[in-house]
Amino acid sequence: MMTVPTPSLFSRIGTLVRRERQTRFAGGALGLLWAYLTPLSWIAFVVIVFRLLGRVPPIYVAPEIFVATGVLPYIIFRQTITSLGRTLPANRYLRYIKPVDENELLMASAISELINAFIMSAMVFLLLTTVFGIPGPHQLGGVAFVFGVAWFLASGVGRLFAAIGRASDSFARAVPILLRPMFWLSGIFYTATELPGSVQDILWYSPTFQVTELLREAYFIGYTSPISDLYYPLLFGGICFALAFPIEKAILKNGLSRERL
Amino acid sequence: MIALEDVTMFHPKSRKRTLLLDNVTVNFGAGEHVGILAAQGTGRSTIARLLSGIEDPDHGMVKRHGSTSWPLGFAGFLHPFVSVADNLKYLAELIGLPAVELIGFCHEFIGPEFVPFKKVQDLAPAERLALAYACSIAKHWDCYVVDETVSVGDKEMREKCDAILAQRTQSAGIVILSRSVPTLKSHADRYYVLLGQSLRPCTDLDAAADALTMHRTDQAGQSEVARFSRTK
Repeated sequence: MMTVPTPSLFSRIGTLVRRERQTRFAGGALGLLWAYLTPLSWIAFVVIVFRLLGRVPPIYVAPEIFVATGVLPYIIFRQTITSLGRTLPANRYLRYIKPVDENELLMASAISELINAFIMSAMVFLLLTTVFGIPGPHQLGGVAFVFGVAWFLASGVGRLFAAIGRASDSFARAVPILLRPMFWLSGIFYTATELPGSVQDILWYSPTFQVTELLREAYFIGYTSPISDLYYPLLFGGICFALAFPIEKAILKNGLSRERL
Repeated sequence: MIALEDVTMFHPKSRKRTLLLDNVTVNFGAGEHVGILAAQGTGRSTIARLLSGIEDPDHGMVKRHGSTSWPLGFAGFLHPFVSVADNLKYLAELIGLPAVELIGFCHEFIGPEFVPFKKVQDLAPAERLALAYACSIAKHWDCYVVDETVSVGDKEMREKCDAILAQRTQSAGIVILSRSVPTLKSHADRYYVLLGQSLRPCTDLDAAADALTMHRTDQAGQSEVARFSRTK
């Protein structure tokens, strides 16, 4: 039997990403479609609530696109964190195939979510422009970049949560509860311009609110956020990412990991 | 070659730091056939994973020259909702084998029962075991690690497993951890016994098995005494 050299890191990550995309929603009839149906149903739900409450977007745009620019970064944030949290327990036996390790599994999961994020966003924007006749993004490159920022932020936070989750099952289970307030703090229903200064000062510290504001600046012509700061979510994600490694090392060194191989 | 240098390892169980190996230094040379007699519940599987490079020691160092298999017959990485062919394709890419050759090997090894388009969850337990065994032995490793499972399935499949393992280990090493003296005798020519968190070389496996039984009886006796003292 022909033996080829051990595959490169790049090649292994590519394989793990394809495997992750095939197995993430395996078992159900709709498979990977769930990754795209979930945000669509969220947007539809929030738009219906918007209309029922008679709420008018604070910017002169259709409610559908206003909600979409709020929900999409939040969903990217949430799904990436959830995916990173589940990948180590779900794929732990892949670590038998050396040199696959935890970092490769997490990286593959994050890249898979990045692909999902772009496909999902493109689907939503295409649907809104073709079906509802809503104008496309003012700065397409800027919008794509902000989605990348949302993913980077989520990858950092998700990496940290995955590290802590290796020690505590309760923490891993509590992550969805911890993320719930972010739904209200992400600016899905409002913009910074309509908030009082004191509330703006507090919400400045919400990295997902910053991302939403950045996205709306890039999408809507003429919208300028009084609080948006590109460096804050990047720094937040970067610090979380960097913190994950010493925490994980301490957990493994002290035998606190709950994983069984 | 696998060399353990001052290796200390605890059972990977949260907050219960049960010692498995205490400052062990041992060298398994290239191409050597080594048997380790280890009683049940002494951390045999953890040590097998340590030798395979899947787990790291708590202290000390494990050096490897050449490739090492995962414990033969392990099936955990086969995704139940994915077809056999897709599972093999991913595995081939990760271990550096052409997918066609891995699938071809599995087909040849398993025979007509090999069903590439069936999902792993739909395989019969014996089919799944055979597939896992074929996966673990398809690649020519420099050292094969065995955690009790030397062969799987019915008599015919067991003979196939024995034959392929014997063929592979003609030019490669094997480290086999087992509680069975006959199994160790038939696959190894140098022996150790896992006794008191230490790997001790031994020449007489039967004597080692007796020593292991006495040690465990003694331990059980001591814990009985301790329990009796606590209840008094």
